[in-house]
Amino acid sequence: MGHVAREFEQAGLPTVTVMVRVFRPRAEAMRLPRTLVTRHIMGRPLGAPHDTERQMAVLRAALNLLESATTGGVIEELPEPYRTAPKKP
Amino acid sequence: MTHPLETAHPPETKSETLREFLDSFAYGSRNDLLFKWLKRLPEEEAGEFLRGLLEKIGESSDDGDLERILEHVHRWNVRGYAGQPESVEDYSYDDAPFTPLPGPLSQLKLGLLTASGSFVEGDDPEPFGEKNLTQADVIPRIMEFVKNPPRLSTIPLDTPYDRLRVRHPGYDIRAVAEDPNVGLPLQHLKALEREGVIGSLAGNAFSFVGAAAQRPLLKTHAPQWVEHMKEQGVQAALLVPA
Repeated sequence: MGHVAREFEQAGLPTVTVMVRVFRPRAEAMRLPRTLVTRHIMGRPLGAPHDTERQMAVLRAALNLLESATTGGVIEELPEPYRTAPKKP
Repeated sequence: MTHPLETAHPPETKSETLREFLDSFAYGSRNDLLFKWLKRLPEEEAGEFLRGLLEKIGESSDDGDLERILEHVHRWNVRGYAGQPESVEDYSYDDAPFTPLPGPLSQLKLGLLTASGSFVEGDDPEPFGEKNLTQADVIPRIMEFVKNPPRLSTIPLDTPYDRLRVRHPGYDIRAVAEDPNVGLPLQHLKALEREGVIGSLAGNAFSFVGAAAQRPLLKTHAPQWVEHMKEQGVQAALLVPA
């Protein structure tokens, strides 16, 4: 996806990429335009299944980064560790 | 199926080194895509990971807190990937391309592209020209995916979630299969559109299998895909690798 982000940006389409922490070294090496990193397990970039609260928080942070970044290569990491979906009462 | 503990030990038990044991989780006899990174750990580090894992399980047995186990696994997962390129196809760049947003997001059209390997039932991207491949079929063929160009799936925004499928040889798809919002957040983006955070959404989202040949992706497919996006009037894109 790193190449897609770079190509989109070079073609004039702004992007934000959401990726899990294990890929952060790739985002750094490839100098992606805007990257939001989550401390989640591979295959669960936005959060655990049915953890709507976390998934929405990640999306809001990503869209906020899309709007606020003023230069390429910016990486923001959310501090919250991976969690399972809160049990319904 | 009989649990292994309920059967007698096999008459001939093949001895195995720790290295062979660790490697077997990455496309080997014990393949588990959630733990394939064990292959990347030196033996002494893997030993420490396993010791710590047992310690955390012991602690969690008393208070039921799963989070410390998940955090332990995550920390070692990150360590497994640190400083080790995925493959010879890895790339590094000095420049960081940047296009400013043309206005507030609340007035723009957003597109979504994921590398989750999602597609709509009845619209199979047919890797290698083959129909109806299952997840179990594609896992052993990871190297074929990595050597072949990607295929793009179009996913209409109003696709019911029970018609979404996911298939990918490189990661554990269980979470995305259980809840597509984990990697293809159509419902959440629609909620953010209703809320006014996003001006509008493109009528179609797109997905591909991220394990693909990088050169054609870079030279041919990514330039085509950005044109697809622009044809839909997309002014900014959310990208989600698996």
